[in-house]
Amino acid sequence: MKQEYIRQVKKELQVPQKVKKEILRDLYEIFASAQEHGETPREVIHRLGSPKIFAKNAQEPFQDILKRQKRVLIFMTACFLFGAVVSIGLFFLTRLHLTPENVIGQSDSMTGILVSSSLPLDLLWLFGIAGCIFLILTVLLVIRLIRK
Amino acid sequence: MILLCLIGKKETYGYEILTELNQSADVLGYAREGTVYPILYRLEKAGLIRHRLATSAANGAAKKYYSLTEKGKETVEELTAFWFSYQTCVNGFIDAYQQEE
Repeated sequence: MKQEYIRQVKKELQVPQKVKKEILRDLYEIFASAQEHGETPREVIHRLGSPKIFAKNAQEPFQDILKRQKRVLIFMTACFLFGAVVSIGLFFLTRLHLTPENVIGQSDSMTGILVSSSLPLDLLWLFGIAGCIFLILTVLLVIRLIRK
Repeated sequence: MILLCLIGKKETYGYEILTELNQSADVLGYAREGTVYPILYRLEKAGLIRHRLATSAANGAAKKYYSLTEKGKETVEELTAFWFSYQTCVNGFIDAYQQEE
């Protein structure tokens, strides 16, 4: 009964991990202290009220931390999304741009083709990889945001 | 403010605070963990109280023992001064009212 109550409070709490641990630790102490003084878990739970209300009251003082964290998360998501769009955009832009330029421009010299194609190819893949990383990070952050 | 005084009187822990409140402050209603702990969190966040974890002799379970910080002591002084002047002020109005009756 006590474990079930604590589990439900844990489920209801929406605060940073550190605060959550602290609140749950205190909840264990509440039960232990009450038991020392001869109270049954049932009496304690009756006094504490529903897990939802207890969790709501307990996390009230920490709402500002949560808000700040959420703002930082949204900002980071926006940055990564911007990074992803720019990188992937550049990736496709360079790809579209390169092939015709080589074909038309430097058809007479071999070295010319080699030099101009080896450098953009590195950049091209760099943008591609960076874009993918940014995209993955964005998706991860969005998932975290939704879960909050 | 009552909590600050209680904690200032001697280092104390959650359940003891509850019992003391229920013994000598029944005008305020029945004290519960659900209302006392959020206040403790607030006071601690504001830097007025701090806690140390210590295991009790009885069953070895860890308890948070709360005490006042320097800032907490200063706040109690300020609040006490304010409370007394507030009391004098309200009493003055009550006296004037009762004389009119």
